[in-house]
Amino acid sequence: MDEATNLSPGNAPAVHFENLTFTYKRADGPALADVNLRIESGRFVGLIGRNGAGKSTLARCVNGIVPKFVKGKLDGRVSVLGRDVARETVARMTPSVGIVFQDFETQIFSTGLMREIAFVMENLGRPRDEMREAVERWVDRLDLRDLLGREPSTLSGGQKQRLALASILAAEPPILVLDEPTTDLDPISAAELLAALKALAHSGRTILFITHELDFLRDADEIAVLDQGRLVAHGAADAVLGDGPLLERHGLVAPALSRLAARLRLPRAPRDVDDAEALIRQAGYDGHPENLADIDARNPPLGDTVLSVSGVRFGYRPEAPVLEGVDLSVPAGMALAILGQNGSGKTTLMRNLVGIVEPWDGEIVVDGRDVASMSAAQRATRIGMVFQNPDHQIFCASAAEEVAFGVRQVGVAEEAIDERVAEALAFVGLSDEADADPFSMDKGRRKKLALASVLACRPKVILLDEPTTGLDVLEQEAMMNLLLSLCASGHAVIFITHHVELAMRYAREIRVMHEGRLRAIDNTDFADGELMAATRLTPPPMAELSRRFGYPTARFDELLMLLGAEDE
Amino acid sequence: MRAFFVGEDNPIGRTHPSTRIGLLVLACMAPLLVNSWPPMAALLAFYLMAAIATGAWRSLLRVKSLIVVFLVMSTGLWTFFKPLPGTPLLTIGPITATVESLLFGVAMGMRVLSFLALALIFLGTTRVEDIGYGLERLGVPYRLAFALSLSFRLTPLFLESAEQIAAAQKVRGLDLNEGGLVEKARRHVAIVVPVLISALRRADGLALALESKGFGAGHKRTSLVAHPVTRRDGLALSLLVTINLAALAYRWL
Amino acid sequence: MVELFTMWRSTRMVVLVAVTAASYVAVLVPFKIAVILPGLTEVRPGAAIPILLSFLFGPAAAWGAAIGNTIGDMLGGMFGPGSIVGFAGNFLYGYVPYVFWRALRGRARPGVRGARDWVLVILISLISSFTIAGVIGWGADALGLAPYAAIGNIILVNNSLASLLLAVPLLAALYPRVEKAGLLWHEIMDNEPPVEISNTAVTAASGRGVMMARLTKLRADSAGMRQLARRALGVLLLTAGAVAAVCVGNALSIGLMGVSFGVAGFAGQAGTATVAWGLLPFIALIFVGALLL
Repeated sequence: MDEATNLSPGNAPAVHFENLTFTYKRADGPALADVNLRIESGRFVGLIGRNGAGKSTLARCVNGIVPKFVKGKLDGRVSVLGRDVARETVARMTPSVGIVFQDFETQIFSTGLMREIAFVMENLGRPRDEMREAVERWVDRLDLRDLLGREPSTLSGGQKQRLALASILAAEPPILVLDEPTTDLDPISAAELLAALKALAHSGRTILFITHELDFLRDADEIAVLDQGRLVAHGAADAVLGDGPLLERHGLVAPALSRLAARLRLPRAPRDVDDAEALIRQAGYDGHPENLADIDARNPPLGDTVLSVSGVRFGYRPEAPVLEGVDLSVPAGMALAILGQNGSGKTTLMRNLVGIVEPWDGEIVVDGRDVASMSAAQRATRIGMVFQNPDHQIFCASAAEEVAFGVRQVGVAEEAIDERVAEALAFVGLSDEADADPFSMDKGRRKKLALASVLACRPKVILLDEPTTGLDVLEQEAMMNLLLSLCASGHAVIFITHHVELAMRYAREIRVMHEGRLRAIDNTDFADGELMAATRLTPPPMAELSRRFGYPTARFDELLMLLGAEDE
Repeated sequence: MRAFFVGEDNPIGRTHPSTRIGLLVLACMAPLLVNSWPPMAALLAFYLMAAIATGAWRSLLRVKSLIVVFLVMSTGLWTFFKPLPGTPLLTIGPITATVESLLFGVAMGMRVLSFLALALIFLGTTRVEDIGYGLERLGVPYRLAFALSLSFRLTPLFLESAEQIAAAQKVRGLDLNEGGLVEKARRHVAIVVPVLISALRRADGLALALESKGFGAGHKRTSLVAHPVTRRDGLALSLLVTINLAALAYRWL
Repeated sequence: MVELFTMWRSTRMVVLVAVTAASYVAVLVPFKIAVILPGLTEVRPGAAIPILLSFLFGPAAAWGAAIGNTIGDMLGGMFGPGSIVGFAGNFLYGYVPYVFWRALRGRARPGVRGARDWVLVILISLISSFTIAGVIGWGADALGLAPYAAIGNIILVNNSLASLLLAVPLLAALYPRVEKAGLLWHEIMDNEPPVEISNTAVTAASGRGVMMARLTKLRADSAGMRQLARRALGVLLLTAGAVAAVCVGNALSIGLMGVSFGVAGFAGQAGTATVAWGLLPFIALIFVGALLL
């Protein structure tokens, strides 16, 4: 049997969903409703939709893990390369289908990168020489060579994600299903991954690629859109991405440059920043820098300094300092973003600020009091921290109890607790779910609940570690707007993010953690190649474009205003 | 776990994983065969030499406070709980400790220390996958061996998440040291529940990934890493058999 | 007890073994509620984990507790021949709760009968603590690692207190969530397809299936009764064995310290042999009970 027939026996489609309906056990409504989708061999297909649209469920139907392993009621038919998945075991589908799951951290369990990559092939009984060769090939393709000596659990998020990808791609199955495989990759790694996937598609392999970042799908062959379990659109990539109203209807946001082209009535969607700049200049936009004043006026006024950090040094081991003299002063009303590579010490700084660890030297003063001199309860009413993983703090049986827990710890009188709880839940929009079990909420809601439980103690300073991971575009926007309204009501908000665009859009000031210190940056610094290389930052397209027109903003609406676009 | 791994590039690390398990069992047997201090000291000295040869001595140094506690505890316990006839040393209440019981206690302390050294040498030279591999080659079913090595893998990850959860709750004002026994226990619920719920979420993701990666696909499994059996394995095993025989001889002669 | 072996067919149960082991260690090592005798008797919330997870993950918790204890030994420097005894003791510690619950309450959710259920949960936790104390105390003494009176009682106090304080609140918080997530052990084992059965085996089995089904129906009632009786006997034997092992172990061990106390036929023997032989019948009773459950 030669390779071509192996990859595509007869004329059967690579994956075929026919009248597929699936309802999870104990769920109220179906996760997938009457999906009909035919994917031919060798195609690169994007699958998009808001959180909860059914994308992951559809992905899991391809190898039969739904409904064989994750239980529920399935109607209709899924076939892969002409085989009815219902008649196969999940294990028998492994040679044909490789799936990289969204939660890549949980998939890594080996002590060495090579062993992790080889695991699938070992299970399939591949000969050792063949495995060696495949492992070597994918170590290079996903740029893992320098990490070979490392313990996988010590890798950064992006490195782990590349490892999780390699562990599936190395077996080179004819069908690859990738569920949000780029969430933690820097733009350079993401581009490399896309190139490798395209090469696989050219060799006849079929790729189903789930993502929230529509920019990555520019070169896809086709795109399918899911909403509430239904397939609402399926067509050529250009057609789907160019249809702004369609995307908007289904909770998606078109790539920034496409939206810009639409608002500025450019003749076509630009391919990249250079192209966009040329098109905008051709269209004769001359810019209105006088509007800058209006933009500044929209910012809430800043108050007194509520957090002041000076000369903070800290490390987990004496010989390896992480923070080497951090200085920071934050007034009430400020929204401050902290960027920086994984492992640069962003989270460590926050742990110092809230008193989880004590700095070697230096001083941290919150609201006029030294952090070290306060009890846990006193601190909680002045400075609060929302951790990256909401499951690290949630434990009560209902949302209301969860919020009440913190309030009770800081000694608020019992009769005032209900009011505090109601207020905090209302602020994050969870009032209707006060009695719901946090365990069954989706991640966006769990993140909001974690925020509410910190807010209820009414701290002046609120720290958030990666507040938007795992959220889709609309949820991200909702979360960031919550934070801005906190600033407007006089809180100081400091958030860590790896998403440069998010920082540029929502923060009033940005710091980069680099070599143990905080360094202030703004839009003009993106031209500094050396700084960008050292901090591994990449300017988002909107920021880069603004810079070229000499504007200090990365916000879509502000750029439009400055360019002098007409109102919609 | 990785904290104890020092490397495979040493006399013990180069043996077959199954051999290493055999060596561990044999090396643990010898101290059980003797119960007086001179041969126990000889055995301990030999094991400490092995710790130096493999580099595992660094892990031993790291747990030095533990070593002191064990020595004192074990020596003390046996000195008072196993009164041997002989020269009286000290009397507390109804118990009289003798020089003989003290020496017996010292021997028991060294026995415990030997086990500690052996465990650290084994963990220091053996990757957790190889523990599974070694057990599998000795006839332990693959899935049991896999569960064992997976447990080793998850332990440091769960320890880290427990630490983070404790920190997160502390930031919310939780003080674990306040209150009486019942109140303290109640407060620990705020730690244990998130630890287990995070563990459950991870477990489900992991099971899903394993299943999709063809875990238990029914094919004959192959292995990326080759572990040839060499003369070294035979030599190492014979050395430890000899040591056990010597210990037996000392005991009965 | 068959489920201890059939569970290995399920990937989820394999993972839950590791999850039990790792969370046992992760909660046991860093946290303690109270120190009664420094270094010896400490109430650690981790000691409640095998009991709690036994109710949730059944046989996976038995294997997991045993493996977790071995890992804890390795990390804490307690590894050695005692770890074999620890393996057996912790295995039973994670085994007793779910088999007892199954024998007495079937698949009922703990707490549906209110306080009566919680009292039962506490009683079961105590029997489980007696079991681990008896088995490890006996084994450690027999191997000459530590005297029974020391080790057995330390384990008894630590584990009983931890499970008294924590088993009920933790079970109440987690059982409904695990149930909702479909991760209760009997649900996992009911649902999951067997790994790989060859086609011939399937055909052969389904051919005989029709006939077998009729026979099973006829036998079902009497088999159910026999199973019930067998499990009741198991509960009785194991409970009797565990309680007796702890009492007699103490008596014999303290007897060595000069308080004159002996069991017919065993008194007069010197050293640890007394405890080792004296407790053997009760330890055997525990294992026989476990086999019946």
